[in-house]
Order: sequence, then structure tokens, then C-alpha cells
Amino acid sequence: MSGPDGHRGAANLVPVERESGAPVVLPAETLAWIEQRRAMYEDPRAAILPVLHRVQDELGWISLEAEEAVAQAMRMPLAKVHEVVTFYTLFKTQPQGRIRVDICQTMSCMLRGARELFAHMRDRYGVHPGETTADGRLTLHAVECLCNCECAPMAQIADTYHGPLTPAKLDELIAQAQPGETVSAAVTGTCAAAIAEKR
Amino acid sequence: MAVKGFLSALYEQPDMHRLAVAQERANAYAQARRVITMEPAAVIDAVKAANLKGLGGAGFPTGMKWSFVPPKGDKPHYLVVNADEGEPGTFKDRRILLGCPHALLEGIIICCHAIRSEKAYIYVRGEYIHEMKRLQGAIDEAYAAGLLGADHLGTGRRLDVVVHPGAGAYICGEETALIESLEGKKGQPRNKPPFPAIEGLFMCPTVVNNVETLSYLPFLFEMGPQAFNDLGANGTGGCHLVSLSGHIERPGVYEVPMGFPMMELINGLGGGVWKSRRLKAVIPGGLSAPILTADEAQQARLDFKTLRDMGSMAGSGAVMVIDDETPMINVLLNCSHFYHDESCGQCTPCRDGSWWLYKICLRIARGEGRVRDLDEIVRICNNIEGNTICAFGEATAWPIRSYVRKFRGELEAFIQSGQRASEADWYHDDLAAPPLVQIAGVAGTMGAHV
Ligand SMILES: Cc1cc2nc3c(=O)[nH]c(=O)nc-3n(C[C@H](O)[C@H](O)[C@H](O)COP(=O)(O)O)c2cc1C
Ligand code: SF4
Ligand code: FES
Repeated sequence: MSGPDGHRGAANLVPVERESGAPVVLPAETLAWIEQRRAMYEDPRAAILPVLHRVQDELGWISLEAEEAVAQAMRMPLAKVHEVVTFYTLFKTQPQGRIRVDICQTMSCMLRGARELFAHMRDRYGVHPGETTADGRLTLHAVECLCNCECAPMAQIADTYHGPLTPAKLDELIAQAQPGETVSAAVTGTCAAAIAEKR
Repeated sequence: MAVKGFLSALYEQPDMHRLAVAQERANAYAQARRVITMEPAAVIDAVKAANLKGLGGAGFPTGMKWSFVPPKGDKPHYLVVNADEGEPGTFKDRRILLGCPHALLEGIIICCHAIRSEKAYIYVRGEYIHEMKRLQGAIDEAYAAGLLGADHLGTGRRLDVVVHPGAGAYICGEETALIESLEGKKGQPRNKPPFPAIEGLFMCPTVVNNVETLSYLPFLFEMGPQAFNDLGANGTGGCHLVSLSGHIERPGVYEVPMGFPMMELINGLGGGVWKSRRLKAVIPGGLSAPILTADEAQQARLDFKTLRDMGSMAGSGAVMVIDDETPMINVLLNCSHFYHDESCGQCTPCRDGSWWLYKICLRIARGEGRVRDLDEIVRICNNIEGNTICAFGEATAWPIRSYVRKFRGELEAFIQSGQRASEADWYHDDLAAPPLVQIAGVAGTMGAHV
């Protein structure tokens, strides 16, 4: 769900506080990564999703200031960046806890007891979907099918899929959880160099 | 019985993602080497003769799709690999990405040769972090070995493969939404025509194929089109990976030939309905597929034609089993919530319709429904179907309407009982919403709240 009304198509009708308070300056290394990524596409604008993943991996979430920095690095209008950020659920427009706990709420997980997991998160950690624990350690999200339904009910904790889960198993995983691998680290490869060499 | 295993025989072996292992134990890239010496038209003819059909959901004949790509002009051609696996119930593509990515890469080389493409993009759903890493590792090895890159396999041509992460949107599995998303926009489907084969990625001729479809190509060429066709049944060649989940003893991915009997899957391979309960219903092809009752399931076979003839679909090969202790309202509520959550929002029938459907289902689940709500649900479904830009509209309307039609008696009894469904309080966000009667009273005015 993107907008406050839960519809991707509808814009954020209610202005949401999204300013982090300080301008975002992307480090030189990130800017170089962005240039390399842009060179992998016939239209450099196509790099926006990997670039947003990278920026979010570094900053933890996408503030309005981060959008501005991305718009500049991507040579794109801010409005176009904003449009992309708000369409996709993996981009978070609010600060997040250090560990993400994404519990699947779709059919196979529902059939095998996802509701119990949500109830447990509420009772034990005091969080509903979309909320962060008071200590800032974790943010819970209710997500749609993560396509690991054979392990239903399941969750993605940090970067890794876990299941089948019980409340006790969930506690154990949460206690051990560390921030994991990131999307941007997973998609950098030799073809970037090969393509750069070609140009 | 299951087939001896093609893709499953690969991904079940340890270390098959490593190039040396894949080459030594599975003869990886041997077929690609052979196929790149063939005329592209002959490659397409072989795929047509094999009756390979798209395993991403639509079941479109693969060879025919490739043949729509125009002769090479000044525009580049692209292959876009759909690894956005998102259809609820489906978890087979990740087996390939993790376990045997070289089968996919070999399929990519074969397809790119047939459609004269020098670049393939693999769009992987953003949650698949380990899968992307594994895939990228395989690609890096293939570049280093000269299987990809400049003068790949000594062809004198280049072939680049780029892994592109999605960012959490079911609709980006739809091929034109995927293209829009890959181009750096919101993932909203395009009006068709033009179809991607004519104007796809960056306005150039593009083939979009699913991971599994492409990964079967090396097997197809190894055994030959006739043998591949003969493996299957009812107009589709080969076998496919079935994702089995829900109330089943042994959930998992099973590789079976086309036309495999549903009950053999459930009771044989899957070990039967869990907890020795009885079967109530089966969703045979991903959440978008109309439901089958337990009686219908007895006759069902897993292939595109049989399931279409039964009024459902084989879709992405995802079978979800529902036991007899599951109230149908839970299934209805969950399904309507999913489509409401994932609509891309650009067509009114789908955006507003999916919202109304969910609100009405939630109202029923909270014990505030009326029997005529069931007619309203069917009416909304009828008005979504056929009136939207992409097939998400049907994917919403078909399953929801099928639950109401096939389980009407149970749903009516539930409404009349005034009970509250056990799942109703699960939708935390919505509990804070105003009383449903106020907003869901007259369907025609509900759009104002969207
Ligand atoms: C709403 C919707 C979601 C889809 N999701 C997927 C998906 O997750 N993966 C996939 O391969 N195809 C998906 N498809 C089907 C694609 O549009 C397309 O038909 C397919 O990728 C073509 O590949 P194939 O011919 O090899 O099956 C979806 C279609 C629709 C309408
Ligand atoms: S049918 Fe739904 S998902 Fe498809 S384009 Fe229209 S609004 Fe978007
Ligand atoms: S329904 Fe939960 S992973 Fe698919």
C-alpha cells in the first residue's frame, strides 16, 4: 500500500511529513555507483529502481531530501522520482527500524496461521503493521505473498526468508536478527564493467 | 508419478549454481553452443514444434511469441526475463534462480539467438535478495568464461545480461507494467496494441518470457522438439514446476508432465490434505485462478486446456489446497484484500471495483453483511471483467466471483448467522476506518472515498 488510502494509483492526498531536516549529500562513491549503473541501460533513467535501493540501503529510508539528491544525480525531475518512490512498497517514506520484519498476509500464509504471528507482534512487541518498536530496533510490515508459500506462515526478517513460523520461532529469529545483505550489493556485477568498456 | 526430473534434477543437486559443476555434471551450455549455429528461424520452428508454452501465467505459445519479433532493422531487440515471481502461491522461479541459474542463462542465450537480441534484462522481484546475488554470481562466472559478453561463445556478437531489481509491486509481473517499471517509471500496464514484440522496452521489439519457460529450453533442444512435445499432453509440450501450498502435508515444488492429475499431486506427491482433514477446494493456478470444489478437483488435470475447459486456469502452476475446516469467508476476504492492495490504480473499474469488493467482503466478515451483498459482488466482478487495460481485472473478478458462485450457500448462511469471521480482526489498519455501512452503502458513491 502506498498512499494513506492504500491505493497505489491515488496520490498521497494527505501531505505527509517526510522531511528528515537536513539536506542529503550523496557520497562520491555512491555517485560513482550511480553513474556506472546508469551506463548499463540504453536510457539511463532506467537505473532509478536500483539507485533508489542503493540510497535507501545507505540512509535507511527515502526522505524528501533523499529524493532531491536522487533527482539531481539521475538528472530527473523531482516529481518523477517522487512518483516512483511512492508507487513501490519496498521504498519506505518514513524512518524505519534497523531490522525489517515483513510478515506475509496472503492466502497460503493466512491458511496456515499468519494471523497468529500478527497477533503476537502486537502483544509482545506492541507493533501493528507499519509501526516501529519504541527502541527503534524493528519495523513490522504486513506484505503480500513473498512467494515462499511452501514455508507458510512465513516472514522476511532483514534480508532472509524464514518459515514455517510459530510465535516462539519468530521471537528467536527477531532476537538473533542483524541487518542483512542489501539489494544494491546483490546486483553489482561484471557486466557493468563490460558495458563501460564497450562505450 | 513425477517425471524423472529435468529442472528439479538440477536444482536438487548441491552447488549446481556454480559454472564448473553445472558444466561437469549437467553439460551446461552444450545446447546453447549447438543452437547458436542454427538459423534463428529454425530455432523458432523447433520451439513451436515442441509446443512449449509460457509458464509465467498466460500459457502463450513461446515459439509463436518469438516469431512476432520483426526482422532486424536499426532498432535493437531485447529479451526481458520475467523473474518478478509474484502470483500468490507460486515459488518455482526462485528454485531456478537459486539452484540452477545456468539453465536460465543457457535459455537466455538460446532465446537471444532466435530473436537476434544482444541484450537481456532479468527483472527480479526486489525481495529476492539472495536470489539476485546467486544469479549475479552465475552471470559473473559466465562472463569470465566467455559465455556472455563481447564475442560470446565465439559468435562475434555480444550478449549482455543485466540483473534489475524490482521494488515490491505485484502488477510489475504483468509484462507491459514490467517494461514500464524497467524503464524507470511507475509500473502501470500499457494499452495493447502495440504488443511488446513490436514496441516493448525503450520502444524496441521485445520478448518477455518467464524464468521457467526459458530454463526448459536446454532440455527441449537436448531431447528434441518431438520428444519434448510427447512428454506433455493436451496441446502443451513438456513438463512444468508445480508449487503446492496451503493445507497440504508436504508443500513444495513438484516437477510433473503437463496433464498430471490433480488428485495424484495432492494425495500422492503432496501426502494428502494436512491433519487428515478432507479437501474442501483447490485453487489450481495461482490466486488469480477460479476455485475448484473438491468434486471438480477429482477430474482436474494440470494443463492449460483441461483447466480452461473447467472454467479455471493453469496460470503459474500454483496449487493451493483448502481444507474442510476453512470458512469460505476467510478465503474471500483474503483474496479481495490482495487485489485491492495491488491494483495499479489506472483503470476505474479495477481501482474502485477492487476497493468496493474488499470493503463489502470486510463488511460481511464483520458480521454486518446482507445476503444481497453477494449479488453486488458478482455484479462488480462482471463490470470489472473485460473493461480494464490489463488482465489484473480478470485476475480480480474471476476468483472472487467463483467463490461466491460455488460457495453461495455457505456464504449466505454465514451472513444470516450474523457471525464475525475469525480473520476479520486481522486487517488492523482497516479497523480504524469509519463504520462500513456508511461508506459501503451505495456502490456508486464509494468512488468518492478512493
Ligand atoms: C497481473 C499479472 C501478474 C503477472 N505476474 C507474473 C509473474 O509474476 N511472473 C511471470 O512470469 N508472469 C507474470 N504475468 C504474466 C506476464 O504478463 C507474461 O505473460 C509472462 O511473463 C510471459 O512469459 P511466458 O510466456 O514465458 O509465460 C502476470 C500477468 C498479469 C496479468
Ligand atoms: S486492470 Fe488494474 S492493474 Fe491492470 S492496468 Fe487497470 S488498474 Fe492497473
Ligand atoms: S502466501 Fe505467504 S509466501 Fe505466499
